[in-house]
Amino acid sequence: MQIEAEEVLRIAELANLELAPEEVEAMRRDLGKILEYIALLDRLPTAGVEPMSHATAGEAGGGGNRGGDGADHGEASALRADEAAPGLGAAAALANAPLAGDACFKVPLVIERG
Amino acid sequence: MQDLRQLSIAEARAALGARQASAAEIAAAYYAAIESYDPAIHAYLSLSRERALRQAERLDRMAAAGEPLPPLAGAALGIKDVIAVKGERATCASRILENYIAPYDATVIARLEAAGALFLGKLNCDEFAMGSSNENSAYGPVRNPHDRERVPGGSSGGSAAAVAARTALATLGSDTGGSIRQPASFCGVVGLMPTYGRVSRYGLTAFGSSLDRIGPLARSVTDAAAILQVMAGADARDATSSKRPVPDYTGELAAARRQAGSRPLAGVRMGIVRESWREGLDREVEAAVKQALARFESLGCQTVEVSLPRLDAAIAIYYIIATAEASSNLARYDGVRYGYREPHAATLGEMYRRTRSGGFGPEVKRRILLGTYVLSAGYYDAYYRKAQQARTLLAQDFAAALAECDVLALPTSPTPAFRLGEKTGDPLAMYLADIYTVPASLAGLPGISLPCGKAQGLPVGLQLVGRHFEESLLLRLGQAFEQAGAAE
Repeated sequence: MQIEAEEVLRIAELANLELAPEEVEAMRRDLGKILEYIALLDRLPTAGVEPMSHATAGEAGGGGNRGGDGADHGEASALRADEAAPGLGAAAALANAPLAGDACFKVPLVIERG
Repeated sequence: MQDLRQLSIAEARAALGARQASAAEIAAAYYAAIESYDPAIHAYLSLSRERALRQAERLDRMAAAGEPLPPLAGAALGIKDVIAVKGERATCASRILENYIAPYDATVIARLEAAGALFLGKLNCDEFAMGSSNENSAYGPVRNPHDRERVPGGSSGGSAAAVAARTALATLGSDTGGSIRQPASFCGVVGLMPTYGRVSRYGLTAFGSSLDRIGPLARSVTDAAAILQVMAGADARDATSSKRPVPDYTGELAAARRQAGSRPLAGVRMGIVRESWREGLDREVEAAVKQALARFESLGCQTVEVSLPRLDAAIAIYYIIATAEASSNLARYDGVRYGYREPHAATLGEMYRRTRSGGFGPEVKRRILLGTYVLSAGYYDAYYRKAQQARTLLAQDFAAALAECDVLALPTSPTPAFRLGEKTGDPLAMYLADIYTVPASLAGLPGISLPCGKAQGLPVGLQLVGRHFEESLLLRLGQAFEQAGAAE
């Protein structure tokens, strides 16, 4: 499958990546080959098949929110009670920050001057 | 004095209990081996001597006091660098996390420490666990201890190489599409991928969240079982972890050892996957796998031919779903909260783009772009939804096959370990080599790779895939296979 350089640049922008010109060319070639291969799925009939959105429990074919054997083990929809619990704490959470101060992460200018 | 690195997990614990060795001596023996052998293998990215020393001191105090020792007492483990060990670096073999220090322990780490394990250090892998050769590490590749010109497999290449080089008693790896099983196969060790949900993922850096699993790599099935025993079970911090009771894996294996007659596996139906014998399967690998199947038959297994008719779709499904999930999971690396930040950016948007572009390697970028593409407006139904539907069909194929038999047997990898650099120029060729491991990943099923001989003088792995939560059977089969191999 042919994929154009503009398309690669458009995706890169969506993914917050900047690509050098030689990277654009390499990605165009590699993604084209991979998408061409992936197209074999077009020959697989899937009309009416439930999408498998998770792999929890043993449900062959996945799909809904039930557990593996059709019984509801509450596994796929395991929600905890909506109660506050202690987190990492600000000091630990900020310890890895490239730039922090006043218990906040600091970043460069957010709104560019017009 | 005996070489403490020869001890199994059970033997190490017994040696500590009998005061024949101390945990500190065991740790020292491994650190000495790492110093001697690791420079040529490069399995380790960092060492955690202080923590290992603290862990050893605790065990040695317990032993001195005559207290009962926990099940993994003295088990010196290496940990794949995608798993959080508090206070240690967790680089994920990426430049973007070069200076990242994990602020908490993964659930598996907390459980293993409580059970007496010693953590030697963090192991090299493909960047963010994306790769099949360990050549995508930002810190340089791992080399296969069986032939240093060859790859150890990936992504848990360091985890497999450290076990093979005996620079760890056992290790933790992670498996998204084969990343425990394939390197285990290439390095001639046991690699176990538990059922999705069996082991908590809390503290595992997310790659493909519906696929990621943590599992052990070890010298023996018994050692792998001992580690699984400690790690398995529900965790409030991972909503996808299963609440099903954890079987007594180690007790069942011990019982099986006591009962073993000449046909210990009588009554087990082993399904041979017809689609395994395909183009690209190395002839010597095929021969080794068939010989392994014959050994299972001699142990009492009944073999039946089964089919996974949509096996051919697996790689395409996987590289849509795994990359889609990865593109979402890796959006968090933006230079704000942790990790590398590109210093010369005037605005926030520029900082995001330059940080990510400078911090990620080519394979990670390729997968982020592919995942972004398949999720982008206009393509979602054609790619992502289609792949999810095809994943349902593949899982149904497995369910049908596993209704005709108890366990499936197939090769782990179509070839033995390849040469460094041999496949780096062709990402698609690298992906296609995952054909035997990706299917069980997609279906959420447990799988184990067992060493089963040689091809071109290099280790070959046989893969067994079981029903959901039937790790016990995989372990029992593996142990019987191992014992018969040792007796041959």
